[in-house]
Amino acid sequence: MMAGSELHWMSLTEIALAIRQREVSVSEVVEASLRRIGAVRPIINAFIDVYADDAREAAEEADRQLRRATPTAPLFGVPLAHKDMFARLGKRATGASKIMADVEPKATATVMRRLDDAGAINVGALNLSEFAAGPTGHNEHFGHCRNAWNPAHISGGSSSGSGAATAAGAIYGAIGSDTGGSIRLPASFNGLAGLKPTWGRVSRFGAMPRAWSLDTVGPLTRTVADCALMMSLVAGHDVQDATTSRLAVPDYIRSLGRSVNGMRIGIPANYFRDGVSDEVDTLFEEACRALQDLGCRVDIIEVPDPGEYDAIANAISKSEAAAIHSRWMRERPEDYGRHGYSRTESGFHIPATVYLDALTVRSAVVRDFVTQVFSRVDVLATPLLNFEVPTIADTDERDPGRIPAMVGRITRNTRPFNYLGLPALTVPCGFTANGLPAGLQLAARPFAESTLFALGGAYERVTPWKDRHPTL
Amino acid sequence: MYITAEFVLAQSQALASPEIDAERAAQLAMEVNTLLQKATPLIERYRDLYADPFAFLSALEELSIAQLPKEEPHDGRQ
Repeated sequence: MMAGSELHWMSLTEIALAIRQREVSVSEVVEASLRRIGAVRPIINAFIDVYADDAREAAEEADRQLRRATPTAPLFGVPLAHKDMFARLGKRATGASKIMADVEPKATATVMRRLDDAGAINVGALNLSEFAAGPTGHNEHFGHCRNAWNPAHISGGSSSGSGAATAAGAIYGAIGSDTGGSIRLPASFNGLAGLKPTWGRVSRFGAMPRAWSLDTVGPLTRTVADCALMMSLVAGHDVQDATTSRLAVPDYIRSLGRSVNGMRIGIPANYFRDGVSDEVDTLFEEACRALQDLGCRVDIIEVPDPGEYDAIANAISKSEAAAIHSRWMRERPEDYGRHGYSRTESGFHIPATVYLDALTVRSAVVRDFVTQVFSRVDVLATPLLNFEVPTIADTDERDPGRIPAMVGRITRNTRPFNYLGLPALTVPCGFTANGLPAGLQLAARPFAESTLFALGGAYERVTPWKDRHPTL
Repeated sequence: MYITAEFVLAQSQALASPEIDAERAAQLAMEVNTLLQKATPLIERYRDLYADPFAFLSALEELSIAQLPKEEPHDGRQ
């Protein structure tokens, strides 16, 4: 029998293999996960609910199957938990709000069904910024989610619990959503890999919307290989989501072994490093040197100004969020937290013509960006955040008029890729003096997730960051 | 395009959008006007009568397989 600590720091890929090879039973793995959840839950507040009885029952059934035959399901018996915004028949997805607790799901979200079919065991529902509206993880209803490396600091949002719970070793991976950085921020702030896929690569059916035109769904994991494995299970066309692409899903796991020798990496000369702190910039430079050492050609390039996208991305996200929330905001304003409410209010006053203009020019904008950037490089590399991960107190903005600026600072480097619809992966690239992780963001042309996994995986193998764990 | 705090307040009352006071109306007007001011140049630059606002997925799919010209990175700084 393996010790609990041996179990909960294994990667998703490793634990799935250990179960298949009968080195450990599913019940042992699930019990270790539940014990770890019990230990860290009061510290990081990453869980809204824990499904201990359901998980134990599923583990016992899985062990019975394991005694009969070797399982083929890729995640057989692996404990996962997800941002509490994915519909599941028989359960309430709260969206970490008071309001969604009254909404009964009529179907199970496609990503949840696909992970269930892959044999994963769902052990709980994870905290998030209310209605997935906020990059910090503050939540006035369920309590603020806290960073696994230091609970005084933000976990990042909006998939705050997905980041903190995975980093804390309570689960082996989680699904989050990303409208302006909500997978990459908590992944990076907690020292994880996190992928915002190409818009249209992963089904959003059954996912609580924030802004339909920008929302994406993807994994947060402790390794890039785990990220590739989860993506290989959830990606692909879904008849229930007309916005999913019919393009074939590449073999992401195989892409991990692809050589990156000669890969062209672009470091933006403009925008992405404006105002970057010395500490973060040093870590970023070191990461770029590691990419060079891997045989990549690293060049500084000018990119079309992403600062220009911010306003039109906001025109889209705020207009769509206001439409989604209009009835609840009129009828139940007292049931909203400060951040979620104030960030949605301006959407009621953006002219519809501007919203449609922002959508109409989008294809031309991305065409220009891709042609100008990805004719010169295969991957664009940027810091994920230009300063050290802040504390919960420092970002607990009470004046609604000041919240947009705070949000803008945190999402500055992530949000452009949502408007552009491009895939972007974050991988840890070191620690700042405050002991919090820093992230390297890698972006590529549409549907080139394989390229990101190849590069991110190669970088991860030559750096020590994935083997460091928080001391909770 | 420019909206006033009075317009935000009146619209909020007329459309029964969330209730706000004059101070919040002023904040929202400023937020929206900043957004409009920043968004307009890009919109004007890319405006195309025949562009389809709902064809973004097709654009991404097309760009994923398009042959891009191979260009040397600019300025060569490393």
